[in-house]
Amino acid sequence: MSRQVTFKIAYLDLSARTFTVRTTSGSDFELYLGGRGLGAKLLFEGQGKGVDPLGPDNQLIFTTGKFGGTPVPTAGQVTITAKSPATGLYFKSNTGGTWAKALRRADWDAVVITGVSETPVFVSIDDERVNFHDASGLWGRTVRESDTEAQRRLGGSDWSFATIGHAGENLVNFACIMTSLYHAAGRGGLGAVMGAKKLKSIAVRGSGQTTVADAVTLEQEVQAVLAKARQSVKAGLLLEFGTAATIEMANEGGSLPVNNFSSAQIPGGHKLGGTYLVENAYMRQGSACSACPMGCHKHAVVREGRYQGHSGGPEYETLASLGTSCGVTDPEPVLKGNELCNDYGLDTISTGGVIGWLMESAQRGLISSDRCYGLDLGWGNGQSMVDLIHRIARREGIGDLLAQGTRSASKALGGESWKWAVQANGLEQSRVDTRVAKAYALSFAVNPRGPDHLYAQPQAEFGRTPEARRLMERLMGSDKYCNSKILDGKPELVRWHEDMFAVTDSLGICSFATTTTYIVDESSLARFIRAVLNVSMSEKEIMQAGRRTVVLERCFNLREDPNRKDTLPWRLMNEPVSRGPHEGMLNSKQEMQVLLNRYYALHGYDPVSGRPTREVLSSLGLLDDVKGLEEIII
Amino acid sequence: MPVHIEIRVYHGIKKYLPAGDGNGFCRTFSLPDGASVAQAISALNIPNDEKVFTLLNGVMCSPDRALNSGDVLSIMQPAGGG
Amino acid sequence: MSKTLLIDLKKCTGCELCVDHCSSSKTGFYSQEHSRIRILRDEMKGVFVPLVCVQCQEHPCVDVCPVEAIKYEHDLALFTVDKDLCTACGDCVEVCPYEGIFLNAGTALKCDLCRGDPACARVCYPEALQYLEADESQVVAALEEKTRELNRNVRK
Repeated sequence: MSRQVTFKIAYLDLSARTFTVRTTSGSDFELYLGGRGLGAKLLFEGQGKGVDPLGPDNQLIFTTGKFGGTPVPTAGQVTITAKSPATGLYFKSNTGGTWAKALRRADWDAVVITGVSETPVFVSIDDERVNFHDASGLWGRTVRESDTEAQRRLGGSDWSFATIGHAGENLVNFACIMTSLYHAAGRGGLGAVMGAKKLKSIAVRGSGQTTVADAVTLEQEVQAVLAKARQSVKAGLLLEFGTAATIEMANEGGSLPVNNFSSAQIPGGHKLGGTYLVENAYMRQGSACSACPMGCHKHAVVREGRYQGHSGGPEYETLASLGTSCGVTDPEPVLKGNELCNDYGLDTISTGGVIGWLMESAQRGLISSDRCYGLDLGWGNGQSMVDLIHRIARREGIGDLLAQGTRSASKALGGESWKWAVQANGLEQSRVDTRVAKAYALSFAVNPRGPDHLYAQPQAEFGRTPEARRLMERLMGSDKYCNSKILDGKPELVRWHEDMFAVTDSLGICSFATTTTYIVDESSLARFIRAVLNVSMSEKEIMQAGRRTVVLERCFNLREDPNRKDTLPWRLMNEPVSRGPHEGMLNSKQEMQVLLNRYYALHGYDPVSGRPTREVLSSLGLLDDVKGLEEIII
Repeated sequence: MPVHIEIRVYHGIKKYLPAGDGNGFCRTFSLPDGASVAQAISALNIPNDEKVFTLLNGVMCSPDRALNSGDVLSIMQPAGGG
Repeated sequence: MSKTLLIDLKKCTGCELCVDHCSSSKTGFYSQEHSRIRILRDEMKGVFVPLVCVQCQEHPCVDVCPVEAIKYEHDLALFTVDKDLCTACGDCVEVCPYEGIFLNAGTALKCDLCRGDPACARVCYPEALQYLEADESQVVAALEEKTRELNRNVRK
């Protein structure tokens, strides 16, 4: 069976307002599977080192996977790739909604955007017709306002949008891109890349049909996955409560970031959990991404009072960032904060991270509240948290400092404020207390994005479900390694999760299926690939394709900044958990070194620097395939 | 002497709690001396085939661990994701 | 008692696996235009309404059809479109109170419950679509809810 699979890419130059079509062929599918893997290769080859993330030469790359448009469960994902203005490094971000399916039904695999438009612009992709439109009247509006107006101008009701809000327009360093109104391609400030290009929105619709090689076998495999979903407690929880169901567990278990990671449990924290939110009618069923049975996305409503409003979400990370990380346990201001972040296009994790940092800085006397609109910056003030979101999105007053992210903001504020800037390599840490979860600690340190969960998500280290325990047994021979506090087995676990996550992003499906619930495994993916594309790939070859992408991403970062370290925020490496069931735990330098050493050894990297060697790059086939890769070899 | 523990239930487990006071999340429960975690769970009428995830004072424990007065038993379903 | 395709609107997430499977069960490929079930989407509110023939007792589509193309099939106990007779005039689409019949490629398309094992219900994990023996009151409640939701909407 031939493995020649073609990718059709729309190249848009916003400076020249031109559009060209390129079709790749050859081995890109076999080597990278497409999607995120293709995006990594396009980023590496298409721009040299030292590109200004907010300048014309930074590519903004949208890649769907070959499963997009088919009913492979969860096949609604798009990966957006660019150099990040927050980290200055490789960045990928994923989102769902309906955009990826629409692009595939329009018969495109990817869109690459370069240049900078002179004036605000939005793009429409209507099957093969690609057009540039004046975005005046959309620029300066929220995501919801913009999509509503753009739909009115374009006509028809079946457009899917990828849009930025005020935050992206104002180049907030953690601005995000929103698809289908409420689905965020978050982290890393890719919304600012889009805003710097003066690109407000990309509207897509496709009238085509999707044909697969073997629809009968595909249906059988879909049924097999659905049967697993019906057995999976996690899948059921995602449907009923979304990711908010994790809040109760994290709070009870002492792994929930509270007050800027200065403690890990908070009384009343359950009010931000899925159970409370659903019971009190704050949260109900929302929009699933295309082809996803689990439909984790919820819809939140505050019916009256000063926080009245409604929006998609909230996710666990949002509840833990805007909520507990700022000491807030009242759901209403947190839901308002979620709504504002969606409308402004702001990453909720970094937003909560930088607000928590400001609160702590004020409490430690480094900044007075008259520099902050007189706001009370004590822990738990939900109104202050909400007010600051407006200021950040609009870069007003103190918001202008906060919009730079905690790394830059703490440099500017000075003193010891860098110590409680809970960030590494320019990215605020996702809301997992890695001091009590060692596989997460390792995965955060080696993640090319920064200390963040959407790269590996090694939940199996907790061993809370039979699926998780089975995976650990498969990898390590025993489920005794399912203990988040030990180091053994964690590098192996992280490596598997990284590879599988890359495969997932590259095929255009959701990590909740292949990790988290573990209802889609390597053998299922091989069957799907054959049924969709009539391509035969072994499980090993599929995971190898994921590995290739992980290594290539690491290479981009090494080319960009050879001094970049695999590390965690200072607080987690230097301040032990102060109280609660995990008192005293720490991500010490020694522990991290043990984990990193084993991780580097597993990958065949140089044991001291963690660099991929010539042997590794050659044996993966990267050296032969990726132009310019040679230069990163020492 | 009976042991008095605090029980917190979440997710689909809530439905097994007897109807009663408004705050359904957290209540004190009395059990006979020497009662185990497993016995507490069945005393709440949670069926054997319900896949629960429990924490005792914030940490995972074995079901036959004996309870002491003042213990906090959290019973929920295994959630995940961000 | 015979089985009904019962719809619970509160559970629909808009994933559209039903739309794709309906299409492929009839044609072999995935396409909204070829599906007998569509989802009315209110992205803003996060509300999704499956639109499909509810096999209603009144069947105004049958009565309005100028060429009697919608006929009763005894072994299925429901009405189906004979595409050889159908002229795609669109009168049935106009008159259907549930927006459950569609025009595509020169014919009207209407759900025939896959002749006994509806593909859509098989892939609905949230159980918004269920094929089961429902009692009269469940069916009536579901239809009333559907009507309310359609009236609320600007589409008609």
